[in-house]
Amino acid sequence: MYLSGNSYIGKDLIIGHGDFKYKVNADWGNLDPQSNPVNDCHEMVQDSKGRIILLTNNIKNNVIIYNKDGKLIDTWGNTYPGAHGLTIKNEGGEDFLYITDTEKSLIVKTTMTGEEVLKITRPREFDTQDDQLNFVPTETAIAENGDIYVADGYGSQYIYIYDQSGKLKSRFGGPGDNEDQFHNCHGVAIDDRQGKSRILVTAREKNQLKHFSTSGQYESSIDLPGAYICRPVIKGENVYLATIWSGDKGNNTGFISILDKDNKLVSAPGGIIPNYRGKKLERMLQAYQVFKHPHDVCVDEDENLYVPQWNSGQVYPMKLIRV
Amino acid sequence: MRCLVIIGLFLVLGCNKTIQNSIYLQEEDTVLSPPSISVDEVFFDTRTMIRVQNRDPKINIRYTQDNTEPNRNSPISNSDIKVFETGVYKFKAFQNGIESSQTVTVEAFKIRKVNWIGLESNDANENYNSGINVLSNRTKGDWNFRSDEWYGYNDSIVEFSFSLEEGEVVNGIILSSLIDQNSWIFSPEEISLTYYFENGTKKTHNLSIPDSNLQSDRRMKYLKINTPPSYPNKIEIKVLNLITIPDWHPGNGHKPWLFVDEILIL
Repeated sequence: MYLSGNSYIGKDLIIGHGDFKYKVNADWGNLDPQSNPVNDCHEMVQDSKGRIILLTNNIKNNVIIYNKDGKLIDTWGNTYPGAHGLTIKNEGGEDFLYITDTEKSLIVKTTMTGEEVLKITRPREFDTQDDQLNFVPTETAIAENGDIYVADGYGSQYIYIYDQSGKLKSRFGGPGDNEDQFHNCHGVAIDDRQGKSRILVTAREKNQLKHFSTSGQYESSIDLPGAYICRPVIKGENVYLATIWSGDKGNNTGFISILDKDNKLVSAPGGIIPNYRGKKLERMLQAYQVFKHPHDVCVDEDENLYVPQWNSGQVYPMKLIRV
Repeated sequence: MRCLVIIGLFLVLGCNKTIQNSIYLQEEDTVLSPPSISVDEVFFDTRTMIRVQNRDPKINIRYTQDNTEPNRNSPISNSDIKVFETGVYKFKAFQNGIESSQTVTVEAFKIRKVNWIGLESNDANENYNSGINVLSNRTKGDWNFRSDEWYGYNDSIVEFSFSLEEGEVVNGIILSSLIDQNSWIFSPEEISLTYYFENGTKKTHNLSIPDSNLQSDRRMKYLKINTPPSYPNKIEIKVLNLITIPDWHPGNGHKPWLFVDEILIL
C-alpha cells in the first residue's frame, strides 16, 4: 500500500480463523547458527518464570532458553542426540523438565539447569525370548499424582504409565486399527478440561485424537482428517496442536490446529478454513506456505504461540502474535 | 538538457519506495500453497471427474488444458471438472496481494479395456507386494506408496511379460509410476518394450529417460511408449533402473526403488 509521497507500507499477513488469528514473526528465535545451532526444533514449553524453553536434537545445545522477545538467556545439554519430547511440570514450587530421547530410548527428568534427577529406560518386562521391545519414546505427560505417561510413538505404540519414582505400573494402546490402538501415538497430555483428568493421545497417522481414562480405558476419538498432529497442548478450554503434515502428507506442508472446548476445530493458522458437514470435519489442507512441518506449539499467558519446526532447514522457532 | 536531468532525478526519487519495516511476515512475501486436485478415475472408459477443493472465497483456482502454465487470465475452476478425453490439466491458486502457488498437474487417460493374460514379473519387495493384479486393475495409486495399489521393486532390472488374445491391436504402453525421491523412489532410466509375434519375429521399442538422475518434485510419472499399430501375441517390458541413487541424494550409493501401480495398453 502506497502512502502519501513515496512511502510504502506492506500488509502484515494474518493467519487463522474466528477468534484465533495471528501475525507471524518468523525471525523471533533467530540466533547465531555458529554459536547456537539447531537441527530439528522439536518442542517448546514456558516455565514459571515466563521463559520459553526450546528442545533441539543438536547436541551443541539441546536446550535453548529464550525470553518472550526471543532474546537468548541460557543453553545447556549435549547428551541428547535424539532429543524429541519436552514437558514441564512444577513440583512443589520447582519446575522440572521431562525429555524423551528417541535415539537413546530413554526419558530423563531434569532440573531447569540440566541436572538429571530421574532416568527411565526401555522396560524389559515386555521383551520376549527372541525380541527386545522396540522402545522409542516421543512424549511424556505428568499427572497431578506424579504419574508419568510415556508415549512410545516411534516404537511399540503403547502408552506406558510409570509412578513418580519411575516404576512401571501398566500400559495401554498398542499398534492396530482398533479404536483404542494407534499408528504413531506421537503425543500425550493430561486433559482436565471437564473437571476430571483424562489422557489425550494423538494417533498421528490416523489423523485422530483419542481420550482414555487415567487407567487407560478407551473413551472416544476426535477425527481431524488431513491433520497429522503431533502432541496436544491444552491451554484454558482449548487444545492446540502442531500439524506436521497436512492434506496428502506432502513435503513442506503443515499448519496449527486449535480446538474449542467441544473439541471442534475452530481455527487453523496456516491452513484452510475449517468446515464441518454435520459433525464431520472436511479434509484439512495447508493454505499458505508459512510453516514447514511444525512440530509443537507453546502457548504463553498472552495466548501468543511459539512454533518449532522439524526438518525445515534448521530454522529457529517463530512466534505468532494473537490479534 | 538540464530539464532532462531534473526529470530523470524526479523519476528516480519519486519512484523510490520506502518500505516501512514490520517485524511480521508480509502478505506480499507469502506464497499460496498448491491447490488440492484429485481425479476420480485416472484411467477411464467414457468420462471421469477432476475434484477441485477450495473453500476460501479469497482464493481462486485457475487452470489450463493446453499444457501451459495457468495465469491470472486463465479460467477459474473452484469446483469439479467433467473430463471426457485424455488430457493434461494444470492448476494454480491465486489471491490478491499474495504470491500464487506452485502448479499442480494432473492427467487423465481415456483408455480402452484390453484383455491380457498371464502377467508375470520379478517378485516385488515383500513389504510392497499386494499381488500382481494391482498392475492391471485400472486403479491409480495415491501418494501413499505403502498402500495396496502400489507394487515396489528394489531391483536394478524389472521385467514384465503377458500375453494377448489373437487379433488385439496394440499402439504402445503406459507404465504408471511414482517419483518420490525423499523416499528413495526414482524414475527408471530406460524402458524397452518388445512385441513377440505369432510368426516368431519380434520388434523392440526403447524409451530413454535422461532426467531420471536429476532432482524432481514428488509426482506421478506416466512412462509412455507409442508404437505403430501392431498385433503381438506376447509383450515384454524391461525396466532399467538407475544403478545407484545419485551423489546429491542422502541415499547415494544405494539402489533406488521403482514403484508401479498400473500397466496400460494403448
